[in-house]
Amino acid sequence: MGKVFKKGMRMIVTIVTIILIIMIGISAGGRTRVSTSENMVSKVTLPVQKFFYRSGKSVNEFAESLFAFKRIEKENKKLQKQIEELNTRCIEESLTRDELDELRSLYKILNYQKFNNEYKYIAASVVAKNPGNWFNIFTIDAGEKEGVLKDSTVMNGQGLIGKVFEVGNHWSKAISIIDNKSSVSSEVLRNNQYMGIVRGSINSEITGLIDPEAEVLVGDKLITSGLSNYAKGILIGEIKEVIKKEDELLKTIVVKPAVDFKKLDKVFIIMPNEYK
Amino acid sequence: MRFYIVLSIIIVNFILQSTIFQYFRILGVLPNTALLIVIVFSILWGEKKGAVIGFITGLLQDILVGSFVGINALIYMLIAYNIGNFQKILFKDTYLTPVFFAIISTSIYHVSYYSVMYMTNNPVEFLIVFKNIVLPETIYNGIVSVVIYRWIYNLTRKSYMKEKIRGSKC
Repeated sequence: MGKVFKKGMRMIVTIVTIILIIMIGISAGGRTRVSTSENMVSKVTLPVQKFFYRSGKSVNEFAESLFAFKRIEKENKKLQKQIEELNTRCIEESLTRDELDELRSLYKILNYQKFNNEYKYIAASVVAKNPGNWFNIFTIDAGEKEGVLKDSTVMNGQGLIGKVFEVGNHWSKAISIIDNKSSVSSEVLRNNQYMGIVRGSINSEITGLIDPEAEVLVGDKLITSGLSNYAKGILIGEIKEVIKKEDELLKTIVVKPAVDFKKLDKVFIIMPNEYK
Repeated sequence: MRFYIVLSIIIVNFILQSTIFQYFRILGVLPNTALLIVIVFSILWGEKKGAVIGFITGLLQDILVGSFVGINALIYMLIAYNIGNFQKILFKDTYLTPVFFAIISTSIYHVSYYSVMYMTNNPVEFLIVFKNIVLPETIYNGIVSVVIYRWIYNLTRKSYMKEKIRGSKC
């Protein structure tokens, strides 16, 4: 009897294994809709996760603030300097803006095709992150019912975070740009002729390739170019390192992301159909 | 009773792992407590219950935060089933058992993950993965497994957990 049962167990494990392998194959690319059972499970766990994520964040912030006096003081001085700089810049910018407004009014007269630069945002907050170490995936609390679609861009005030790759009823999973799976078409903010593609990697670093003729410097800011799924003109990060190797055709750049991926909380989601 | 306790351990672990533990990553790596719980249960209770626990744990993780549905469920289930086969011949009163199995199964977990990634057209360099993920995670898991083993071992000794496991042979 025991032997028969053992064989049966082995059969069950084999069958379940095959079913799971098929499921992996189906869900590998991310889906536009998830099944109702998944929605039901997440409906129960999501509020709890939200609570714990928040409390974890506050505990972490509290613990960090105990040790961060020196750093905060330094940062304060740096920020004050930056404010002064920005104030002077603000005046210049407002002058050029007036000029730009005047020129824009010419659009109508000349019947010029205007690029619509206004996106529609949905605000959401991060509720959980992938516990494994292979992916940089997180769950957010807005889904199909809020109007989120697959491949929508996710960002926050600091810069680009990633894109949505699976949408549930009131939740969706997003994959961040430092993940191995994602790549972003980018351009240098200083000179938008210099385009390239940056990719995340398994050790959460962003690297990219760029034209060898391009004069990119350490500290240059990179923004999205709008050629990939991501909306145009979102800050990706700063160039940390430029590597030129003899045997490679293109220059390699290492980018420091603008967003602090360890402390994600509030995010914006940009609808993809808004800019099509 | 036993079923509900195990289920609640799995769910609570999952919630903590995906939320609070995220803020306490060391070197960007998180010890995989879900895997450890699965291993410990299959060391103590054998392949049948181990496989079921592994399946549920993995599926929960896949549905809510995973990228491929089924990958964690598959790996956890197979690891638990194979470890559970040794249940009868294992010496359970030493901490060497969980540490040994934690190290072995963390490596197996990553090798299988790597092969699935490879097959789904996401190739990554194995050396980088090994240096940045596998090595630190194996060490963490080895250390954390002692704590989890001790806790679950004491829990299974309690009267309400014993109902009808020990006597039956299967």
